[in-house]
Amino acid sequence: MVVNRKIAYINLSTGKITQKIVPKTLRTLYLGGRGINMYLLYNHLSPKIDPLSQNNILFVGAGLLGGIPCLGSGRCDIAAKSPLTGAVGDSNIGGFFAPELRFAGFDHLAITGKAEEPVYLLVRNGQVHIREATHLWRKDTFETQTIIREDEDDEDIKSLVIGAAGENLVRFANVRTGRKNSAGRTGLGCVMGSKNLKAIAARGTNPLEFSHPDDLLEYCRQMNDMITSTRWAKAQSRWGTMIIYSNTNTAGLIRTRNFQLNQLEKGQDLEPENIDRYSIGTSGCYGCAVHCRHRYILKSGSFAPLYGEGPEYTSLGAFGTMVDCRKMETILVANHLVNKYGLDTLETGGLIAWAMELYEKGIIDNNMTDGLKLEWGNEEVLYELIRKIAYREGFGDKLANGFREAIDKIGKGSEYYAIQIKGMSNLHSDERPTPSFALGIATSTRGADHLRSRPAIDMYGLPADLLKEIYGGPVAADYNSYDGKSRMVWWQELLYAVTDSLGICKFQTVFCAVHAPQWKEFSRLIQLATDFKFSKDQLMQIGERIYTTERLFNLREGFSRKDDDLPKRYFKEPTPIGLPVARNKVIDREKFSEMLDEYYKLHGWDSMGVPTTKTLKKLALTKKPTNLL
Amino acid sequence: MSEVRCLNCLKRFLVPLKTEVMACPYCKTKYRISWPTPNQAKVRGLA
Repeated sequence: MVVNRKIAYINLSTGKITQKIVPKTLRTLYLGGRGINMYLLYNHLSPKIDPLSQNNILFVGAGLLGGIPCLGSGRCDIAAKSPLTGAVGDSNIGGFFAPELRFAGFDHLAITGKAEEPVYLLVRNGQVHIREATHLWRKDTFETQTIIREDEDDEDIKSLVIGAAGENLVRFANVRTGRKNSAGRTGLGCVMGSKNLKAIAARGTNPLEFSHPDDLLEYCRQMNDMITSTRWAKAQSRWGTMIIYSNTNTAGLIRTRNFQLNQLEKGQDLEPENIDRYSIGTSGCYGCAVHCRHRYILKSGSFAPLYGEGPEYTSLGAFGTMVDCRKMETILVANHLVNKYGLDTLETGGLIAWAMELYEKGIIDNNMTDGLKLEWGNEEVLYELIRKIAYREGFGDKLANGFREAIDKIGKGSEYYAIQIKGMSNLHSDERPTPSFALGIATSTRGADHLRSRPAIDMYGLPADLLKEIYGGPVAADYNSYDGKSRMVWWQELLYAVTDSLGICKFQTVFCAVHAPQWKEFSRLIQLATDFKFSKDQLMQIGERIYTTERLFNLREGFSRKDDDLPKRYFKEPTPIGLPVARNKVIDREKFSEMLDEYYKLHGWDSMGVPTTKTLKKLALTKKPTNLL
Repeated sequence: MSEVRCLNCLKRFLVPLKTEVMACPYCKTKYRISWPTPNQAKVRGLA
């Protein structure tokens, strides 16, 4: 590939737009996508800024391999200082936007300032235009994309948009594209809303030029064969990421009634085959051979007729197990609502489940909830509370700034029941039986987060020898064990930092299958596409550089070892039900602390989680901040 | 026959085609079985 895509700097306050080629040096240090976004975030933001001020910068980045015909290469990375956590704000979105951005001539956008009136950006064939968007304000995420296409008279435009939640500065508003895809986490839709930026549209007709096109095409075919031959991909093609639910719920690894149970009993209607009642087929993102998203229609009920796409495994937890709703229809409706308003599924479900537990325990009552009876399984309350959060009405407004502010407002010991880390809600997984997952969510740079590491391979019954071969050191085969799990988390963090920088889908790497693509395959793809040559060790070092850059950003914002922790309930309340492998488990505080020490050492950080001078030197991070771009 | 993994003991065992309920021969945990494709069994919850 002729790596000639540009970065555009857009100041919405002044209307000034400048462009530069992304330097080759930066590519060799950070690749693209998340990597370059993290470089920009650390080097271009002043410390301690208000995330909703004009000084926050929204970065949009396509991956270095964005647009190749395999591994779901349509991923786009969006970053800013998070208005939810104050830490790294970063979220990854599938669909078709990132390749379109590249076709338009750009890999990265850096958007600062604030427009006086609502605007959207149109990126088209080497130019960036700022368009008036008053008529789009108050339109939902679906309507907005349609209207932009009509306005520009171009059905092939792809857009990143916000909905009511972003306009109303809900701190966990997301950014959306298409019918399904979301950059869900850390509130980047809120940053767009704070800039009066309703959408970013892209359209391009400049083909990508690959260094070795014929060999690349053949290798991409091999990659697609490699993925589609896995058991996971076969099941995922059939039922999407919902396939995970059967295993986790059966075992007892799934948060239910906030954190009171670890299994949804009588939850059969949430099992993935029940989507067949509503599905009219599946579709996929750019460059994907798996096609994991269902297209569904609800023909009855108060929201019918309703067309949607998904739902994800996360939706089953956020609007199913965590709030004890046991009907697939409930999941489909709630999924549609958060997509329409532009709300993060996990944060919304996590906050509502927490509020329901507070209501059950009498910590909040009808006076605070505007008369809503926050009872488990009450789907009408669920729908109404989603709407109230998006529009910041009444009790919804109390939740709209996330856990930290809600805890301050409610008080009365409510913090104990909040399943959040660094201010961000956790997935609906219950990590008490899985120390590796527990460490992963505690150390993630963006808050409680399953996507920075997801160290799941030890759950597949693999022999310890194979795990040692993959991770380069001993890892216990028993997923209840603490031995070697810090190594798993560290290794997976590096792999996914690179995955997100290449712009490919994590589900097509060592995420669900041990023989799915990883370092060796990445190295070959990069070489065929761009002629850059990276060994496995060099790619791992790039992953380390990206992760350490994120760590440096968080340290600068005041985060430290004390924030790499779990909610107290993980250490105090044993899992009450589930299979023997998952029952009666808590996280051992002392062993957790030892894992954390080991994890810091693997990264080359000191006992407080601060990168050592030696590490900074090795990673070329001694100049701070640097200004390559 | 299709192979599945027990979610309790993590050992693999074979499931005859079209079987809908089966216990793990090692730890005796009893599962419902479904078939995403005609030849691929999948554990689908406790029986």
